[in-house]
Amino acid sequence: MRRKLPGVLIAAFGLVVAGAPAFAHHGFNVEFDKDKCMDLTGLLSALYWENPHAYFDVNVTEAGGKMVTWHLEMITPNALKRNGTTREDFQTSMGKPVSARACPTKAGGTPYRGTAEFIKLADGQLRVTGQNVENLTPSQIHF
Amino acid sequence: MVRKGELEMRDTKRRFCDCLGSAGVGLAALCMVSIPAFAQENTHAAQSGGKPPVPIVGGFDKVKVLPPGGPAPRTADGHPDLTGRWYPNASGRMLQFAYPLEEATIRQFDPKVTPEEKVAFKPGIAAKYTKPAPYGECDQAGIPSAPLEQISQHAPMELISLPGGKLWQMFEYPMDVRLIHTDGRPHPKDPDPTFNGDSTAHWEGDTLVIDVIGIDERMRVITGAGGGWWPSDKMHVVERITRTSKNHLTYQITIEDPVVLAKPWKSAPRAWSLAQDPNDYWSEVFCTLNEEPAEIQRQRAAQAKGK
Repeated sequence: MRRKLPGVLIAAFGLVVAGAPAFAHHGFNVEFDKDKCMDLTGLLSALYWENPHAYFDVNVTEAGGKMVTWHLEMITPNALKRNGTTREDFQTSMGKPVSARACPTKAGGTPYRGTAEFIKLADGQLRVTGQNVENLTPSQIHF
Repeated sequence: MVRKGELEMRDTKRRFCDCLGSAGVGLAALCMVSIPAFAQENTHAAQSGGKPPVPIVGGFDKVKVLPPGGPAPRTADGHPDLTGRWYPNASGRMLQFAYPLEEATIRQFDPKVTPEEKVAFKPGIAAKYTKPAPYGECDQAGIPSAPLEQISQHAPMELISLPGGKLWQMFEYPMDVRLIHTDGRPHPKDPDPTFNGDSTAHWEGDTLVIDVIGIDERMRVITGAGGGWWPSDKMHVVERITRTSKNHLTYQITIEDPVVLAKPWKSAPRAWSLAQDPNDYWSEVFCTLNEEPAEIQRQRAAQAKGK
């Protein structure tokens, strides 16, 4: 599915958060559930630095104690780099605790797969990684 | 594609796992023992619990509409020099569109000032022209789609003007390279169909007017304003590029297709701005279908069922 012109939320203070990232070749609303986005915290366990989407894996312990691996989609590496996040940033966080704001696949989709709006790597910095479908501002992220 | 819960090292060039390595799940569990705060929290991030917001990288607080920067430079023949790396916005850098920004910094045009009409298809056209593209396919390179879809792709465009009437145009994504003849030469009588078509250009004042024919019918037309269609071999595209100052140019595109369109579709004069970071670089964005295969199959099955 080709992406469409992003819907734009015009805030009272004249700012906008557009719902589409640079570079994606499929529709967020088709695959992911913006109403079930969640904070995930766990160990960064893998990185896939490839086009058109980069991915990372994070090992998360569920409430019952079961460890699961979430596979989360990001935008393209060049868009990540131009917005302050490099492959090295992920590499230096490998095996360390990270937090992500993630939206899972819709009902019936592949389990433990989703897309990440933001990630906080081991350096404590917040990084844009995907579509901001919740229209969050960074000030609303409190991992 | 990795299945959830597995930690296989599929490809060391693409995957990095400093802590876990090939030891797999067992070591992963061991690592986790030392981390007390693992949690899967199905709550909104805004529920801060008193925690301060997290600082963000990316320099988004410095994003602004660029000043003109002076007049457009000119080539030896006196025409505006279009050479440069250009971003499809007014702020001279790639923007993530996931951070709150002033609208004027990120949009390519103001629909209140220069609205774009909806595409008007010719009544009764064959379904082949309006059928959807298979779900998940990489975005379309070619003319007119590559420049138009940057309204949502946000990728840079590189223009390289060379003596002798050549203008090279490159898009980072969808990855595309195109030669435009700027010496006003006529089109070949029967150009071979290509995704970028045959492009010949002339100057009207300070505006480069590019005339394009011979576009492959498999080149899905994307205007960036939603939807798309498949053209006929009669599609004719006219592009107008004007470097209005050192830092800004406008790029307007008109699409004619007497078989598919009831009337020509005209884009707004969309804004592009000159990359400001001297260390800005050209990247390869070679698109592959690297999504979860099960998701692609599921979505394509649903798409087929919906027909």
